[in-house]
Amino acid sequence: MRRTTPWILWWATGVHAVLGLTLLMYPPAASIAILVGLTVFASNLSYLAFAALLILASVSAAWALAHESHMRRGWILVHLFPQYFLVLTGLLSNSYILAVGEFNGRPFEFWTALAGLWPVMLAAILHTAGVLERYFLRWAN
Amino acid sequence: MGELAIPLAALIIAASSLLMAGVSNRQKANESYVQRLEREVSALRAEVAVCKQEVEDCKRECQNCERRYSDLQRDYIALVARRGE
Repeated sequence: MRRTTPWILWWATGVHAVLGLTLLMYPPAASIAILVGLTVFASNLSYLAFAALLILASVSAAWALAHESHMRRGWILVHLFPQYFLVLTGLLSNSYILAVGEFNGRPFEFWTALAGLWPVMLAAILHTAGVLERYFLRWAN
Repeated sequence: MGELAIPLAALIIAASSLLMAGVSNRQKANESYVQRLEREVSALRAEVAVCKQEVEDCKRECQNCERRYSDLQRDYIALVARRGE
């Protein structure tokens, strides 16, 4: 069976790497974590720990994607885990914000918020689908 | 704590789905390994059958040669005996 390139996994790798490096160079940039739904880490972790988490996740996932042909398959999943955890956190965070109808104590208009948060939520859904399709449905070909 | 429930939930979902993927893959890999072994065994059986046939052919050829040799030996002995007379 033909294997496709998991572009959405690479997309997340690129996003997390750039955000992590930006935090290292300019710590106040932590507030832009809202763009990927990771405010919860920005407000509960030090900028260094948050940057380390982002960079670890992206390097680990990129390593797995680049070497998957000669890596043990269980190890591929272990390497993808931090990034998968981050995108799922983004999805759940954004869903929670939409469900409660306010962010940082400020109420907002639902459809405007949905339009703003949806790109990251959609990417997280596609990322999940990509991981499951690639490593759950089509392995052992 | 309420805020940290989200990453905790994400952690649990990510870990359980990847674990499920890993377990399912292991089962599939084992199944395909067994299927490959079964294919190899049947290919080897076919090869063994061909080899057995070849052995039978060789045995038959060998018997023919032995028979021919003993015929020739008998003729030779008869020829030598006739010359001696």
